[in-house]
Amino acid sequence: MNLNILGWKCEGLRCPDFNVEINERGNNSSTFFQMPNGTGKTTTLRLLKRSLYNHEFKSSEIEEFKAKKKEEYKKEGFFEAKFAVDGKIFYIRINFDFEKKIASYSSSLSDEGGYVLGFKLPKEIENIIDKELVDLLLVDLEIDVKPMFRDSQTKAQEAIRKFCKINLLESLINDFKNFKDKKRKESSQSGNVQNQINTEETRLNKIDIRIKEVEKKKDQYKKYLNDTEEEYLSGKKQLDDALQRDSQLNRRRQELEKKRDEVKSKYDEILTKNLNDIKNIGTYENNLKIEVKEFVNNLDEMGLPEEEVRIFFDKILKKTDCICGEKLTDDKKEVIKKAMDSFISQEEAGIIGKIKDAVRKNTQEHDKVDLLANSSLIQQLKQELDATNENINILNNKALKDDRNLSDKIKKLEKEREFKKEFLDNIINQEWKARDGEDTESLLSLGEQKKIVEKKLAELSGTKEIEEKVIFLSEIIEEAIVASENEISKEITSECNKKIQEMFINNPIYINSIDKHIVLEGQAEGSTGQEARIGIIFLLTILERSSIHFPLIVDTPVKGMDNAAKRRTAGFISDLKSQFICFVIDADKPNFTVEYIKLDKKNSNFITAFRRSKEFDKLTDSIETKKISNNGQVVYGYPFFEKFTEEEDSI
Amino acid sequence: MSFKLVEKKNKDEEQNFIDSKDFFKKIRSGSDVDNSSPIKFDMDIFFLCLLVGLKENKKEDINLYKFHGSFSSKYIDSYLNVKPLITGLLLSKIMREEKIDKNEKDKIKKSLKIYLDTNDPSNLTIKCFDIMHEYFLGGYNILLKKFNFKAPDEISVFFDKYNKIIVN
Repeated sequence: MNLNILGWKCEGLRCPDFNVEINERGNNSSTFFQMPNGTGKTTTLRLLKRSLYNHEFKSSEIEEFKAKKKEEYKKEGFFEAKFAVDGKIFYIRINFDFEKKIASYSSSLSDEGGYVLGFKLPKEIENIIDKELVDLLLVDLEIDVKPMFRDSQTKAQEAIRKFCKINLLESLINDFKNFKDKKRKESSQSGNVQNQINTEETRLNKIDIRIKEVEKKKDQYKKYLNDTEEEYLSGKKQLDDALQRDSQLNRRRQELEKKRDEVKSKYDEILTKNLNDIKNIGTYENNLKIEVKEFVNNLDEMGLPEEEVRIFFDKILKKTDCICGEKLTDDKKEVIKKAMDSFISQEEAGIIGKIKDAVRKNTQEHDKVDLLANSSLIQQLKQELDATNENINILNNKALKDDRNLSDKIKKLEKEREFKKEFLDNIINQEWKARDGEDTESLLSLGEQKKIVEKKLAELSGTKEIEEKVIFLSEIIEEAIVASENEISKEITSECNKKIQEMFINNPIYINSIDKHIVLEGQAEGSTGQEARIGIIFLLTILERSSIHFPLIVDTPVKGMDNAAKRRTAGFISDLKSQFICFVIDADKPNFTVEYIKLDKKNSNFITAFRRSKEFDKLTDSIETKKISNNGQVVYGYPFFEKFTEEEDSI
Repeated sequence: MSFKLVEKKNKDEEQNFIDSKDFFKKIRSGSDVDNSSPIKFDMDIFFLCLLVGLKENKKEDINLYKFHGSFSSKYIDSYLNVKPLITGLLLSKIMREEKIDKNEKDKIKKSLKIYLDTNDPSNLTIKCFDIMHEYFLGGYNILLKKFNFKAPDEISVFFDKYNKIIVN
């Protein structure tokens, strides 16, 4: 099955009124769409995304789509996207009412028009397309690729689940669970049992609500980390640069940092030594040393342990004759056994022996320890460490005096990011504990609590057999999910690495593994350009595996790349089989589209869209393949695409 | 058998009582201000409290307290050398409490059989394990008082006070 984007039309929005026909020349395989900065690339991408799933527009969001220029403001506007599923055309239209601040969908499932109110996709794709999938298909490489590489995020895993249809197995588990819930609710019990069922149902409901809340928070935190990463890293770099600027201050700071590291190392050492010294009871003077010594002395005085005596009796018991020469009858053996039991066993003697050894070593052999001397050294080093840190802070404050606001902002951001990472990495993954309530934020615990309540409900409602069968089947499917995810991840890693080898001729960065996120070989993170390239390789690799051919729409495909990488990306795109649309600005063209046109075997589309101005209108005077509105123009063909270099001011 | 840390006092007689995990929270490895603390494990916390209880000969009734779930069923590796010393001290305390004279060899041997379990990795019977937790509680209560029922902020301050308690 093939899903293609054929074009879009917009009026009365923040971007100029455009009417874009991707397959204007009967070919929609690869399209390069040039829009100057500020012409509405992001707006177009966002609305294209929202044309593929039913989005609830908030009034503040609607405001963002409104035309900003006074003379262009209209009370109403729309964005209409044209798609084809296996050649069958359909339209989705988003209607904006800027006065009432509302947005609504209308859909047409044929080429003859006839819109109906509401969001409706053709049957072939209505159960396949959702927001998560769309977010993977329409990507801003600067923003959307990062979560695939960060350890607190799970976007790579989500992509594999989605495209390799692993989520269908999850929906199967859900179907089983729904069936089980239905059966449970159908069985009504009497009196007290029904009251208990109601109580447990209420608890189950609370757990479900809590899971949803935590999942929502998880998504929000992931988004926050992703959204603030650029700001945080660039802010940190700016502050580092500021610290390096004054060479005298910098030298002094380096000296202090060296001193701090030395003091810190000694401080860590004495703290560790102190804890180990405390553990060595008997090496320092106190009443415990006296007590434990006395205990061992008493044992010595009593001749304990006396294992040899017990062993002696034990050996006699195994003989037929006693050492005195008489026969050992059962009665006599019983007497010996009683006598033997008054002696401690070999194992007990072993424990006593170890106590004596440990006490002897600590009180006689080991060096004596002075815990008070430890304390003095700890205090002295702590004071030194604090003073050095304080001096470094003073120097930093001096160096950052012009960047005070930025410094405060980055500190705040750092704290907030750490807090959210802690939530994503630890809090939601904490093991279940018996005392956990429904208010916990651990998804593992909530899952476990849910299982317990469901089990109880099954017992109360007499549906235990169904419950057990569903658990049995679900566990098999869950195991299959894990196993298939591992296998597919390995295959995708290998396929991606083959492509990486072709694309990164110099210094290739390979993928080590794909678990929840993409782990790079030998480095924690890649540069923006490296991650963008690997991200696009990853997406294309999983797209190729899918039996459904989706379009891939990429904003800023070569941003952050050097010239060689741009050329290799061009080569890579020319080999793609599924529909590919990318948004570029004129600065992206050298080494990218210029290179691509030489390799183009597909007669690709080159489209330029811009806000009208006298200057730009003159440029297109002699061109026929264009569509003009009152404030925008869409021009088709490579010659104009190549020629177009000027950018208008931001809207 | 399992080692446990105390969470709260059942009858809330002591309003200021702090969960032992919370008391050590700011001075645990990774959470402390200088990232220098050697207190890494729950076993470290348990041991530090237990030692104070043994030193000060102070026990508390375990039934008056609510414990966290078990953090370990046996001594962790870094405490294997400490195990015989703790066992020795516990046996010594028990025999003193039971007023067993050092010359009463049979009584001592009987006690060893009651309090030592050769099949348990801790070498202690349930009864002895409970006594160990009583000393742990006693020690923790002393620490709480010494720190005015406020969790210490810095490991250097904690060890300064702690060492004084242990050697005095």
